[in-house]
Formats: sequence, C-alpha cells, structure tokens
Amino acid sequence: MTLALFEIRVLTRSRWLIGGGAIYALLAAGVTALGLSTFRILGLGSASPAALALLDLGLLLPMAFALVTGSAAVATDREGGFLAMLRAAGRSGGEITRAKIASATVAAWLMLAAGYGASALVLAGNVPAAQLPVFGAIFGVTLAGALAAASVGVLVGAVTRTRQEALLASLAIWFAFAVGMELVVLALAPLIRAGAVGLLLLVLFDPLEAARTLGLIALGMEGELLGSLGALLTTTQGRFGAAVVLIAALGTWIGGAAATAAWLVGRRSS
Amino acid sequence: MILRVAALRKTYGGRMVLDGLSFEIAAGTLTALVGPNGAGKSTLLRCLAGVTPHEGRVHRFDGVRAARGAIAYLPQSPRLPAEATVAEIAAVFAVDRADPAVSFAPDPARRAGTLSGGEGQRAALAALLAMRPRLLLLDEPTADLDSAARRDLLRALTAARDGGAAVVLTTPAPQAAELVAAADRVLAIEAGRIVADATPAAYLAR
Repeated sequence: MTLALFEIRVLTRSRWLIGGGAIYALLAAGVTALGLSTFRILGLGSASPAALALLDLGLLLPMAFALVTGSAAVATDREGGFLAMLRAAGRSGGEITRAKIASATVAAWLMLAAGYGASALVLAGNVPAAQLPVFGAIFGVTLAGALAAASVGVLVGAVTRTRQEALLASLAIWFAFAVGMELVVLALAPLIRAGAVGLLLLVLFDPLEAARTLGLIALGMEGELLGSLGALLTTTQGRFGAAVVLIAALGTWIGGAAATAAWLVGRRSS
Repeated sequence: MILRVAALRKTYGGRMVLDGLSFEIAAGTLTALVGPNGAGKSTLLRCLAGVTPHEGRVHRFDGVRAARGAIAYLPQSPRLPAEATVAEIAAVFAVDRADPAVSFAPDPARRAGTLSGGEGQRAALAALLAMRPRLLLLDEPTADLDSAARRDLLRALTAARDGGAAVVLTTPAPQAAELVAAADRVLAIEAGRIVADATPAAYLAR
C-alpha cells in the first residue's frame, strides 16, 4: 500500500472529518437556502450575498480544517514515534510530506464536497443551468485554498515539536490569514506605493485572502466588492493579470510549503 | 558487518548525551544495550536508525543504507495511527512483500486506537518484522509486554537473527537478565559512554 493511500484512508475515518463535514454541510445548505429565500432566485448571482457567503464558508472552515489536520498529522506521528519508524524504514521526507498533504487535502475536499452537495440539493430545480459555472468557480477556488492550507499545515507540523504546539500554531496562523493580513494590507496600502512586485509580496503573505480574492474575481465582482487587496490588484494589473498573480501566489504557497516541509521532515529529529 | 560507529557524539541543549562511542555490529547477531535511565541508550538507537542528527559517523554496510525496509526501528511505546488497522500498518512497512501478515500481530482487522499498550507494541513489532529487515533497532521492546508476549518476541527476534539480521535492542539494567541471556553480546552504557562490551555470561556474572 502506498503511504499516501494509507494516510488518506486513516484520515478519512476520523470522527473530526465526519463531524466537521456534517456541520459544514448544514451551514452550506443553510446559507444557500437563506440566499434563495431572500432573493427568490438563484442566490448565486454575481453580487449575491449568498454567493459571497458560500465562498467565505468554503474557504474559512475547510481551510482551517486542512491547516489543523495537516499540522496534527505530522506532529502526532512524531510524538508517537511513527514518523521515526517510517523514516528509519527508508521513507523520505518528501514521500512522507506528500502523503500528509494528500490526506489533509482529500479530507478537506470531502468536507467541501459534503457542503456543496448539500448546497446543490437546496439549489436543485431553482438554478438555471447557465448559472452553474458560478457554483463551479466557487468550488474550484475553495479546492485550491484547501490544498494550500494543507501544505501550510504540514509545514507547521514539521516546524513544531509537539501536537499541542502544532494545533496552537495552526490556529494562530489561520486566524492571521482570516483576519490579520487583511488588516495589514488595509493599513499598509496607503503608505506604500505598491507596484506589481509589492502587491505580489502582500498576496504571498496570505493564501486565504489570495484564494478569496480569486474567487471574487471568478464571480465577476468589481470595485470595492473585491476587497482592499482585490481592488488594488485589479486596478494595477487588470482582472486577468490579477488572477494570474493570485494563482501564482497560491502555487507558491503550495509548492514552497511542501518543499520546506519535506526538507524539515527529512532532516530534523523525528 | 552491518554497522560501524565511529566517534559518535550527541548533545541536547549543551548536555553531552553520547560521548564519542565507537563499535561495530555484525550481521546475524543479537546485541543488548543495557544501562540505567538517561544513559543514552534510546538516543544511540535513534542515531543508528538515522532519525536524529548527530556528530561522528555511522557507516551502514551490506545494502542496509540504500535499501528501503532494510532498517526497522521501534521507539519506546509507539503510538500507531489510531484509525489504521493492524493489517494496514503492516502493509505500509512490508510494502514490497506478498504477505505482510505475521503471527505475532494482534487481530489484523482491529484498529490501532482500540489496542492496549502491549497489543500496540506487538502490532508495531509485527509490522517491522514483516519487512524482513537487515537491521532491527528496538527500544525497550518488552516494556509493555506480558511474559507470554515476551517469549513470543524473543522467539521472533532470535529467528530474525538466525536468518541473518542484526538485532540491537535496549533494556534498562534491572530488567536486563531475560533479554541479556538471549543476546550474543552486551554493550553496557552509562552517562553516554560504553562501560562494558561483554558476552552475556560475563556481563551477568558481574
């Protein structure tokens, strides 16, 4: 059995995934139903609060789950000695890291599938087929966000020494991503004359905001609805350029975090 | 020869835990590392397993270094992934083997989270033995086992040794007699140094 398949099997049996998926599905269905009842139509239109709520919900909870799960997966195995058993048996840091990222990502994707599945059930019969790409855009962005969060989570697990440290650090990082970085961008934007490189650096500090802004662009939102970062980016780079920068930022987070975690898992004391 | 250790040193926070150890481990032998708590036995085993950085050299021979599954390392009281079954854990380690099942293991269908400490220890040992490693490094493998399981373990280890594997295990000095008697060689460690390298008979006669 490959290590990745083993890790995926183990993690998808977790009661945290089952419970989290159920809660997330209920929330997604509730948000969708609220959108439908409020607007009497799709609720996924370009400026709909329901679309925004689904996007935020799809980023905040599954990304938090992927972050915490990824960090705990590494730290728990280190504390219990299983990581050392794997390494001694010849499993490389890269192989272990890829397996952990894959399992945390799949778990978060299953959670997202549960949420969007519940949402689709509520929408069934009320959504014109032409609007389905909007739903798909939100789903795609949240999948990418979950992958980035899983990579960062595994990196956190590789850096920290204990499971408790890993959980605290991943929650703190999630909070910074969810709230802190947007405030930093708001505070700094008037002070710096951010060119393309400056904006890219700001985006690089927050994968959640990058994914959210990408989602907003995919939803066709403009101006202030894109948020401070999105407004800055689209003004200077255009919509397509902004999307490219955001995708590059997410790719950098995924690749950079995975490579660093692999290096650490392969060299640090297990 | 499987291992040659030369001037091995390890410090934790400025404290010398292993102080320039040098020795060799031959294939087809069972070596007992004995010593009191804090002597450095577990750290030494982790250095031999290659899972912690250290100073000095640990040379691995006879394909032990390159081959996947050539080294099996069992930490003290390992905690296996709770949601994985005993069979799945064995399959992860014995990935290239046709039949990873080992009679020493608990029920293969049971999840690790439902196992007692001793059962978890047996499951981990069975998974490692299923790899048929060239070098077995076991940190207090009998710590959580009852007397029947200890006998089963010793039988499994001597069988691995007779099959050409090198077995190195640690045990605290007060509990050493049973394991020492089964060993071919005893390395006694105190304060990070080897204080005796003897046959079991000579060590037990001290």
